[in-house]
Amino acid sequence: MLQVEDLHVSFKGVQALRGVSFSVEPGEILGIIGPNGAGKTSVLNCINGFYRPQRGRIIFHGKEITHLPPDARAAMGIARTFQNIALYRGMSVLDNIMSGRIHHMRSNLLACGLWFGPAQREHTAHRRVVEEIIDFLEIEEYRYHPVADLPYGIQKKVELGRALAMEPRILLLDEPMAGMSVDEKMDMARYILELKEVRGLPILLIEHDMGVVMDISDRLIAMDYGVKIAEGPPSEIQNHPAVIQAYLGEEAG
Amino acid sequence: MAAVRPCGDYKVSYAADMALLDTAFYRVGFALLVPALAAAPFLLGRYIFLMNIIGIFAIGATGLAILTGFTGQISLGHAAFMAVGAYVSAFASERFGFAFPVAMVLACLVAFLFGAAVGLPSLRIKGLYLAIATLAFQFLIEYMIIHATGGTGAILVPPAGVGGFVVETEVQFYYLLLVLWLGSGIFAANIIRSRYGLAFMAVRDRDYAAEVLGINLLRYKVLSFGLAALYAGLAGSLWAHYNKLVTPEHFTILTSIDYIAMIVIGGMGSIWGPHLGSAFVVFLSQGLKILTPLLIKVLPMFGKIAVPAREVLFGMVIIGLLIWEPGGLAMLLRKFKRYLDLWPFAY
Ligand SMILES: Nc1ncnc2c1ncn2[C@@H]1O[C@H](COP(=O)(O)OP(=O)(O)O)[C@@H](O)[C@H]1O
Ligand SMILES: [Mg+2]
Repeated sequence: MLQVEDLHVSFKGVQALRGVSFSVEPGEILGIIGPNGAGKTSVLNCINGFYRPQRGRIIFHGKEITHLPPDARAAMGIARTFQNIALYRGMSVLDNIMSGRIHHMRSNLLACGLWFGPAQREHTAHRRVVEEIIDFLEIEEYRYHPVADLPYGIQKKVELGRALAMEPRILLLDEPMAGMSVDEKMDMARYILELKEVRGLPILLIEHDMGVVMDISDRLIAMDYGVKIAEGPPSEIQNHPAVIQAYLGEEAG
Repeated sequence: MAAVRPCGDYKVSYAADMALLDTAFYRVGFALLVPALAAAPFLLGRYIFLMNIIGIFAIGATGLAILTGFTGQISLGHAAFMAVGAYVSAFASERFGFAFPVAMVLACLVAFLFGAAVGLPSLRIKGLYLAIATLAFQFLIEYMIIHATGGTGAILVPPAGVGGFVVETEVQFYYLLLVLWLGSGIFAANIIRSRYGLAFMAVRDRDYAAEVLGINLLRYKVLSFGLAALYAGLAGSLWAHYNKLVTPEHFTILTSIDYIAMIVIGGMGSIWGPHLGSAFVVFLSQGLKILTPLLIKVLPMFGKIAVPAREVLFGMVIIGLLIWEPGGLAMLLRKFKRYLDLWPFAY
């Protein structure tokens, strides 16, 4: 459903990606691992449209999207979260997640300005969807909190909730568990698995915690210096010589 | 915090939860406010002209609140959009004989188009550079008015009127204004709680994360500029027919700065902010106008600083607010509300 072919990206001499190819199959969790600077985030930035690769193609549900702007890709059903949380800090948890519904809302400016009638009915319907997400992520008590004041782990949940509110067809998660406590990581892993199993949502997951990523991924890709160095089931990647080498190199350097 | 709801204030439905006046404090407040506004001419007597000025500028400031407070785009040219509205309305009624309601709608539409056009470069130009671009627009409009009208730029304007009824007095104008003031204020508040408001705030808080939700940045920025200009245009049209005269002196950069003072003092990111801010700024300027001659009589040397005194005072109020209460008067109101919610038991 998502094919990435031969991506090349460079920044003033730094080659972030040097020919990365892979595909995400329906309903699977594909994990991406690799040391810092390997190019993992750059892959997500190409898929969601922040980076234009110098070479390569991205195909989503049979349509080439390599040259579409980010908002058009989002509208096609590509949702993501960020390594460094990118919530709307001036808004409440509720409004942050509600923002994920914007591209499903249709009321025009006049209807919205008058509010009573169609706009209110539409808003209420979307509010119901948002409440389901809030229940799912167990953040009811923070509903009206401005996100800026919330603990890091909760903010990560809200960001996931905002992406889910889009009802995406694929979810790109950039280190969703970074900086979390063990309990919070377990919760997050549970949500991710449930999304796959209950909703059949395909997920591309970048994660540093080896234990977790090995546990929940169906397949794994390992990257180093902008190339894919290994691909396969977790058990295989765990003992792959090139992967061990890459991580040893990181520890030594 | 916004999360602290008073005891017993349970929401029975999502619709109730999304209500504009979302707690008893605001509902009771509004229920008292509307009759008070309706009775203002009897309460204020000849000072009702103050409410006319406050109302007109509150409408204009509502536009800037949408643009700057909710969408995060700075504009130093808000008075220029007001000028566009005022002159369109003046020409439409004086030269072409259109009725006031038609002239007013034309003023809004043309101002909207000007706003959208000025908003176009906002995708590329940000922050300070955008402020400078809007400043350039401000000077361009001032220049164009003087040259287009040849001379001082002053034009006489017929009084406002609706369907044969001519608005002659301050009190009559006030009731016309009140309808438009409440209507446009509620309309703006509804826009803010709709998908447009969510998108505006998303653009303000983190533009790249807005794109990721499928929000087209250019579309919403241009729309926000257009709406801001539309409100300024409405204010301009009302101003023209209220004074029965338009002159470029009313729409200089100083007026643009007054607008910024209004939304900062009133509270950015609040639907009440522009109204509170307009009241504060108008009261302060009018108060100074009355006080200055008295002060000069007592203290002749005050005459030297009388002219900049207004600017200095606003500057001090704004700096003070930025330090002690960045949420402005609207936040003070909310704190007062919280105090009442918890009174007499803080639990
Ligand atoms: N916008 C950018 N500008 C310059 N260099 C970048 C940019 N984005 C990524 N890079 C570089 O590309 C390489 C890969 O970065 P990244 O994709 O963030 O790696 P990872 O997510 O695997 O840690 C790094 O060397 C990084 O410095
Ligand atoms: Mg990264």
